[in-house]
Amino acid sequence: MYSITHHGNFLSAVLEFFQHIMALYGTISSYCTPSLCPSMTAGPNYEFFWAQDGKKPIKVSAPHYTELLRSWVIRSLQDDHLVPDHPGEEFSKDFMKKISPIYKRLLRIYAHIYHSHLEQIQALDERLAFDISCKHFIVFSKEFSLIDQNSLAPLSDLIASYAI
Amino acid sequence: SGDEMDVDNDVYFDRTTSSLPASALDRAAMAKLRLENYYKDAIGRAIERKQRYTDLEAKLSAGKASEERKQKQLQALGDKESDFLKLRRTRLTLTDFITIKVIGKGAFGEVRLVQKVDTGKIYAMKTLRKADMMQKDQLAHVKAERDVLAESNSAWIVQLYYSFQDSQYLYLIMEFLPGGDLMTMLIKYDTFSEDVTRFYMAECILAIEFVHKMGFVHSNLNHSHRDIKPDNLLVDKDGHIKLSDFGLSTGFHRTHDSQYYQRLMTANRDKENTSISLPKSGSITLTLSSKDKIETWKRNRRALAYSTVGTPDYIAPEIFQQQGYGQECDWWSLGVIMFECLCGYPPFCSENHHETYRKIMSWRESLIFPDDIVLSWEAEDLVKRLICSPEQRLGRNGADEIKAHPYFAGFNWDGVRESVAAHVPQLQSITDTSYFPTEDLDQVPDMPSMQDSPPHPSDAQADLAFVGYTYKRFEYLTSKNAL
Ligand SMILES: Nc1ncnc2c1ncn2[C@@H]1O[C@H](COP(=O)(O)OP(=O)(O)OP(=O)(O)O)[C@@H](O)[C@H]1O
Repeated sequence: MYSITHHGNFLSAVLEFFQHIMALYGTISSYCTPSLCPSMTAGPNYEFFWAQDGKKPIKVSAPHYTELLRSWVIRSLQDDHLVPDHPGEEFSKDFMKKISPIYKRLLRIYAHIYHSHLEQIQALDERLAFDISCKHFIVFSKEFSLIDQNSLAPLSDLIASYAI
Repeated sequence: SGDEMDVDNDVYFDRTTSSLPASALDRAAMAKLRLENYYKDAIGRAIERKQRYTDLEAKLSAGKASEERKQKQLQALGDKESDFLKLRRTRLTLTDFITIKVIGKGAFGEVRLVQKVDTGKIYAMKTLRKADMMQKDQLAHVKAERDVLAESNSAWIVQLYYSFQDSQYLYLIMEFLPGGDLMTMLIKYDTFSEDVTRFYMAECILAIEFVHKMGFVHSNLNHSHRDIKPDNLLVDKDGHIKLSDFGLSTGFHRTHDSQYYQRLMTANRDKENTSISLPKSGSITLTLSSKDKIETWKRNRRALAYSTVGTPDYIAPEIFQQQGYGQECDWWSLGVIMFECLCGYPPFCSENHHETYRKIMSWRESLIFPDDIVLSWEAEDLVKRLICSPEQRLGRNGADEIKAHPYFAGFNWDGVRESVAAHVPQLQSITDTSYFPTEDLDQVPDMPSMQDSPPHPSDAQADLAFVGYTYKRFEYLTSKNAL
């Protein structure tokens, strides 16, 4: 079969995943406050620190982490060198190197919601939507080796339940 | 930290939402709708993509092209698909289009002839003011309906290529139909001959039949009550009819709000009770010649089309009653249009909406054919078989009933769209707007005017209604020779 430019495909996908998970997060954001979620955790075993621009990783609350992540993703995607403006222009050589950290960090939002806010997701009747998005995210990341096995660990039991 | 909230799938879970704030529920509904739309769309696109690939492969293996050439063609399709994905990521805004002329006005905004800046392609752009549309809650449903129609890719439906939104408007970028609409044509010609009327009626029947069948396929959508009126019957470059993408805004028209009419009716009844001296409508109309009636009707016609309330002239009586209605209401509207084509004014037209409404409800008495216009027996009979009670109405068991009416005896139903139309527009260029009342629209600004502050920027309910208003068509976006 012909190949759709992979880069374009990854970019479309990351945009969609980003929008979907942020939309879902937005619905539970009133339960994800600095006092209820003082750090970005994914269950008892995982805690994520925010690191940016080569600075030392810092501990921030889950809502703060999400906010930092949101603006970081938007900035990354707006990077002129990441996305060519004009048809026919090539994607930059280090495109994949720039895109996979985005996937890796988006996974943490899925993981935090799964471990800390599933109750609200269920109450809002969003479980199916969450699962569909998450499953697609995992399958996509695996298919194109965007995320290593280690980074998937915070969602391992969910992934096991998906049987993918 | 957060693990005490970790819930297992099999743990009993109380799904009560009563403790959740309404805003969370709104946002949840929006998030779900967004995902649902995305996956529905994505799956659709994947299927289409596969189909395009299969089609090309079949074509290539049938031909005698060399292996190298085949590879090249497949790669070309791949490039096109990539372009399409790229275009899907492009966010269109108003600044991507320049207005050539304002060509139409509806209840919620205007229609402009525009040119896309980068490609130079010509489109019709319909603008809908969100604030006006928000009063009604069925937007999401209406949108689903519009999507189905837009995707139908039928010759009977105006094609929708893109849609986008900003804080105040929705924008629909459609194919431009240079022939104007049937309303404008009726204003110009007063009446049509029976042959010309037959042509337009036939095309309308096929178009409405198509829409009804779509409703049958997508049984969750009720594709009736399409707001069939001459304003919505557009004329393409060859003179053939297309239904405009009205599915979007119809739902919001006051004319469709049965409660609005209930109120009108009670108000009217009170008036009648208190002032006995009000003249009965029939007494005036009978004294007017059809020529006078045509003139009066034409004088008011545009204002009616531009008003937010719209005209009730084409609406079937059962819609005003609360008992519900079915697809056959569209055939009533067709009957009204047919009367108008032949006589020059719709049968229930009056000085005001109350009167029109009253006449529609008492159609048995108020449907009167003018003495000074000669109609064939067949034409008059068809009108009467359409403007009648829903149980008796021709078409209630399918469009074939209407097609079989003696008015269409010997008519060739198969080649209608391919045949030469009753009026073929004489066009000088692809941006010719001579079939549009552009003088009447002088006052309308070239670009939609922006309020200083958006209406309710953070209103989740407001956004909910507009989720997923980004729509683009593959063939069009990637075809080099469109228009
Ligand atoms: N695709 C198009 N090409 C050319 N002209 C168009 C197109 N769409 C609309 N028009 C013109 O603009 C006029 C108003 O458009 P339209 O009927 O869609 O608005 P509207 O009356 O608000 O619709 P409705 O109220 O039924 O949703 C039409 O009567 C027609 O003359």
